[in-house]
Amino acid sequence: MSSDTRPDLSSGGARFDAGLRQYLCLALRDEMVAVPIDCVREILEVGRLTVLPGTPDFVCGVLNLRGAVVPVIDVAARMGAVPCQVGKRSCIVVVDVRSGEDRRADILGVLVDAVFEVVDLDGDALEPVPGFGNAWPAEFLAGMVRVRAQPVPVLDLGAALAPEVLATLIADAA
Amino acid sequence: MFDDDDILNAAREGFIEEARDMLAQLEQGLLALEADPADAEAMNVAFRAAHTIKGTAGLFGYDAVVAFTHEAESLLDAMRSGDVGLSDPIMAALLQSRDQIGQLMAEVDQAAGDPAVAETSRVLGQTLRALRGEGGQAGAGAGAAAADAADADAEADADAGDAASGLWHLSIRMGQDALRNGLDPLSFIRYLDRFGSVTGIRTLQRVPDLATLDPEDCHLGFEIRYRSDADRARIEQVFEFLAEDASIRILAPDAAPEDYEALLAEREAGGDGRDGLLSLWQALAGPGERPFIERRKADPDTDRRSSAVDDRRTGTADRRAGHAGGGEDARFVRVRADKLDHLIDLIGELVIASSGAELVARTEQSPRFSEVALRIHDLVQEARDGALGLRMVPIGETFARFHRVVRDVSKQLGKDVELQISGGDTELDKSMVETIADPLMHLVRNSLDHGVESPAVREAAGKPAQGRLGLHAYHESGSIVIEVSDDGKGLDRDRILAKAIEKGLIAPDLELTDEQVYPLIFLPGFSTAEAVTNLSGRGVGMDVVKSNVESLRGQITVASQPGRGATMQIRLPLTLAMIDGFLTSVGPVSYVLPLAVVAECIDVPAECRSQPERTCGTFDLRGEVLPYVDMSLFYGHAPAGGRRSLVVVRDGPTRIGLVVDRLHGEHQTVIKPLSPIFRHLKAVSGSTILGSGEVALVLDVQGLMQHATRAVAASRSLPRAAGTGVAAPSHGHPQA
Repeated sequence: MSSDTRPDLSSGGARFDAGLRQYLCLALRDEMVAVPIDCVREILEVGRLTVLPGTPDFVCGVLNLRGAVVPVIDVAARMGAVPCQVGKRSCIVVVDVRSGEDRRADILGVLVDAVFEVVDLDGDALEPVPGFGNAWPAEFLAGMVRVRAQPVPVLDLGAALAPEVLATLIADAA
Repeated sequence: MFDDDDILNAAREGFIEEARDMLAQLEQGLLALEADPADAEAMNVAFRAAHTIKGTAGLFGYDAVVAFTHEAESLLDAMRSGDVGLSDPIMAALLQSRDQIGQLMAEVDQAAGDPAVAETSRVLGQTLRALRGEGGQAGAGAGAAAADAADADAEADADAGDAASGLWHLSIRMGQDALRNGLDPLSFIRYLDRFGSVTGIRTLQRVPDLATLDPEDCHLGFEIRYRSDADRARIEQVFEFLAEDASIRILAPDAAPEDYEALLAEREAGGDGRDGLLSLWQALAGPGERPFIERRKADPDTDRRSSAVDDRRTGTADRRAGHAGGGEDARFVRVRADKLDHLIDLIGELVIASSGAELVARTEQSPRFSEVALRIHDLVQEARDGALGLRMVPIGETFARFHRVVRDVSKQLGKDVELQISGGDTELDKSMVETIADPLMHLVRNSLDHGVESPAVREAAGKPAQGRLGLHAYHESGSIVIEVSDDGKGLDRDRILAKAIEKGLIAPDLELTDEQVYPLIFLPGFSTAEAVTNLSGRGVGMDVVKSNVESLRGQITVASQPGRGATMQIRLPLTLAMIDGFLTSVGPVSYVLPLAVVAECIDVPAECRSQPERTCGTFDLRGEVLPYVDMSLFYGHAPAGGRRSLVVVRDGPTRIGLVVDRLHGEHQTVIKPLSPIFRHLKAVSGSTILGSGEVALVLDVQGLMQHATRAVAASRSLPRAAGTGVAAPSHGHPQA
């Protein structure tokens, strides 16, 4: 796959234009997915969340991140899965989501079922998403990478967590 | 790093902002003059405003603004010196000029100005000159050419004769901070070309060693030979804005060798530097000219003339000092809004940290720690109030603008209307003031156009010929109320109804009360004016007003009495960064109510306790029946056991009860905006962080009431499941 047809991953963070790209592998329900590491700010334990009344299931609540109030989204539920049961290995991955014309970064917490490892992959290792048979809707995937020969979908956080879309979904639920 | 465009844009914004203030001052000065023509201070204010606009516009090269403002300034100057007396045409022309300057300002960013605006500049400029008593000259030639807004050179020609044409010598040493202060020496030098030509220029640089070099310092100096017919004052004016940041010496063409000698001594104390500068001067002047210093006194008058020049200079300096001291600017400091916001953010963190400290003090049960924490808490509260006050501006400044609007519009309509203002010192957030000005303008125009009748009609109706338009502002239960009222004919119920039916906005057979009819004017596409006037009545007005007010989370209501007048009431929340809150908890979540809406707290009354499954109901408060909402059920939290409480909250005239699980008392609340993804949540207006680190939600009582009303209305149309009442679904509330 030539580099100019490669999907734009920068929707999840600043473009990291080196030979290697790093991905964070994590679990959503029982499926392993990867996200580009450059949009990940930090990984937190699931602490105390304040529930927001009248929001859809994928909104877990808001979190006090050193003085900033950050929404936490159950991204798997957002993509159609059943709501997350917080377990021992659950984590909140704090990410930057860039969207809109000004590419303004919104900070969001993403509730995931487990966090595994960071893998280094070739910059052009991203493969196209198969037409069907994916665990997650293809519109939320940026491509596939291979981790130890296993294909792992790469989440397009910019699409899955697009603030405009989330705002509309939340408005509809209210 | 910024690039030049960024810096220029920032400076330009500052200029436009300043010019807007200046225009407001100009207008206020003029209106004060109209009321009292002998008011010298008002005269000065108006003149200074025009002068400042011209000066700053010149810096940015906005020729059209400079040329036109010059005419207005000249007329004001003539009035100030008593050469021209105040008259109605002059006042009208000056007010019109103020608007024209505003127009010109509005198009400074466009490459090509609107020809119609330029034409107005030309015509109005001529009027101004004629009023100054130069009508004859203006028609003669040079003056008329000067009227062309863009042609500043022509204007310079018109000034010919003020000073002998000749070669000036300008010696400029830039101050270290000049560049930091955004002063580009090049723009000043370029500006010189307007009144003459620079025949020679040498740039001096005294860059220190690299070790001691501050790259942002300015180390430049200029020696300039300048051929111009302009007089000294004009050349000085070019450098007026540089005066504080540079040392500028201007030697007239007839300057004596002693003047040059003095300058040389000032610039270079002696030695090589002195000779160097002298030879530089010589090179600058060219071989044709006599050496500067060796030019001996040829004319006995020179001394006198140069001292006369000095006098003139002193005069200018005095006038400039007068500007600085006389203006109101001295009492204000212009601060960047983001610096202020940062300060307020910091104080917000301080408030949270201090309540955290208090919490620790309580749990540690240390009386001394508690005492100190309390003291800090008090100080922080004071600091908070002070910091918030910085963002607040009295609405009076906005109200004052309407003097002009009322004057102009009522004259245009042949009506006599007095503007009454009260509560001008009511303060609200600066950003709100800006947003509310346009809707207010529309309401005022509407009242003048449709509300207040003409004097004849008023007298026939037994009312005083002079109408009254009121602008009132006051605080009420955590909101700011702004009212626009008139004593005109009131809203015409029948016409509104007829129009609404005609436009298909309502069904023809509806029976509506007055309270239902009047708000129809806020529907999009509604306009009752039979003829479309240029004031109001385009049918885009009231619905835009309404949406503007609602964008500030405000409300607009209308009250009217036929024949007695109408009142539009705008109710705005105090959307501040921090509020005094009242902390409650419902299930696992803490909610903050603005303290100002809390009327009282009581035990949950028997009526509510007897029907624990009901989300909404009514209860009796000392003989008054009020609705209540059980917050636990409404928000789908499991109700906590034990003693619960009911908080009576106000929303304007109405009151409702909120049943909550726990009361925690007053809480200084720093409002943290919720992520934009939650902007459609109606009942939650923000969040805050408690001392424990927990996030609490700030309730918007108005939104909550609307939400509850809709939810209850919707639940009524649903079949009721036995025993569950209108309990909410597990995650959220009844579908609206």
